Amino acid sequence: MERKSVIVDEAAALDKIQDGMTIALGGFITAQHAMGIIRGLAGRRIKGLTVIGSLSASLEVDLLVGCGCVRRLISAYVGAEAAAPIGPFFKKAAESGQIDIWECDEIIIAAMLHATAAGVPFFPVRGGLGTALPELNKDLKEFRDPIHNEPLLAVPAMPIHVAITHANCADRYGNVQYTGNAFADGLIHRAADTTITTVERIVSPEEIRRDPFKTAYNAQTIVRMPYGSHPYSCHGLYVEDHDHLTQYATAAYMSTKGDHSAWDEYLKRFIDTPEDHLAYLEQVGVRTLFSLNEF
Amino acid sequence: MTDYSVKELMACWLARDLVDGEFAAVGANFPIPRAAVLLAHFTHGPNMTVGMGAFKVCLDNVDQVMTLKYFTDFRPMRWAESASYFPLDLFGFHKMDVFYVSGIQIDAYGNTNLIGIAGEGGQYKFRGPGSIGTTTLAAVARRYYIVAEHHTPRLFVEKCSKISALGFGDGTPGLRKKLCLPGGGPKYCITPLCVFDFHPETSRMRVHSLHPGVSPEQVVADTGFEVEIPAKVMETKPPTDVELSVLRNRVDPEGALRT
Repeated sequence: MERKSVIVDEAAALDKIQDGMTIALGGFITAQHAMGIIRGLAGRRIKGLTVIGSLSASLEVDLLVGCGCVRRLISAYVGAEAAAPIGPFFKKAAESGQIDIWECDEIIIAAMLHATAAGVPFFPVRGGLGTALPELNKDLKEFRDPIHNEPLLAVPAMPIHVAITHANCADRYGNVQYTGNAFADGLIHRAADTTITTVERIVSPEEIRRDPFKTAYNAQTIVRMPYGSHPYSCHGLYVEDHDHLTQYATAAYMSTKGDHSAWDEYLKRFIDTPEDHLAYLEQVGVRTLFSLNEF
Repeated sequence: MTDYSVKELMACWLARDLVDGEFAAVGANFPIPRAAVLLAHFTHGPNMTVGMGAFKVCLDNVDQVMTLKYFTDFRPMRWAESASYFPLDLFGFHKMDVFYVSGIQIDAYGNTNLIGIAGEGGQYKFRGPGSIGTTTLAAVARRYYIVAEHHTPRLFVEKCSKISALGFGDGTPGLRKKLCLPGGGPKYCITPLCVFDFHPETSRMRVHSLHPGVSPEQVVADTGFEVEIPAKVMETKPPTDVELSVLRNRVDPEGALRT
């Protein structure tokens, strides 16, 4: 019997994510999001997701909120710093009560993921005592530790159906390697039932075996997606597309204020019309893409 | 003496309070603390550990340091000696000496709010961006500074609607100790008008120094809580020519602090 390849096309990867699931998105703020998959979920208007934007998220989560995919959100931040201090759709949905927010900071999410990955009921943290977090997030329980009798917060484990990450490369067996920082991707992989990873390149098994210590984890599903994190960065390869993020932020903001024209155009051009990731890259254009990988 | 902007004054003042050898991080969209950490590193902190984005960098012999739009920009890699190991470095936060926080509200006891402002019926009138790492850092970092880019009664309130980073809570003496929080809490709060410190007994903010040309009445008028102004209040020491030269030539050549 032959060893099986785990490479699939993007439609097959998207079929693994259904309404109502809990998904964890990799990367960190404006780096390394599996945008080919995330745009696909937005395009399919998947409903009722619990989304973990680990550990702080950017506008990839805002896009899912804006397309009505999110019921419950777990993230310490949703925004794009200078391009958008707060994600516009996130802000509006939080203010109108359209989404539930599991209030936390980055360390509290990390603690939740640690508990889940380790198969223990909770992980303790100090931060959050005396703040509004335990009152806003009833899952966080104050307790006295049995060793020193100190007050702590217990952060419970949470089942996660699918982790969705973006990395530099993988072989056809799902061995994933990064050029730069993997952020918390290895942890969300360990916490989730299954992992879908989009990669810039498929490499040979020999190239992976040249440095097995570089392998961050073994994903169950690999999708080849060059420039797959655009408009976010991929460490060592390309930086954030500031103009695109600004275009998104402006269109989304205007839409939350009642003027939907720029947002409708953005949706049509970048989410709904392109039939796949490469068609999306054609919309972005080679001149733009190649301007992002110079030092 | 050279003219300076109030943001330059704030950066220079914060830089002087950093000690060589300390571990401090430079965020992306927070220009005043960024400039303070880099200025301290260049003027008197060659042994500081400088966290820049996802890297720990050493800037010996670096002439100019670019301003980053995004925390995750990987280009500081050229100066990096190591990378942050996520998310375990987040759990290493308790070894951080210094950090800087802001908020959509800052209250009289140094609590800050990045979560949101409650409106009617349990919903938010204004939803903030989220707590980022501040909840834990405020609990565990050895000391921290609250940095406000504006000084208005809407920002400086008696009580935060939601506390995301705990300062001194409701002022109960020994509260942080009772909660077994290892960090010392906020040391100073700096604004475009003044520097606040915290009264050792009440833990309330009081004026520590007024920036040149600012009157006590202006601080009272622009602060949303009752603020104590000691009878003899100092003037914030303005930037020196040396500080301004390092700041403008090496730290902030783009002039982010002058806009």
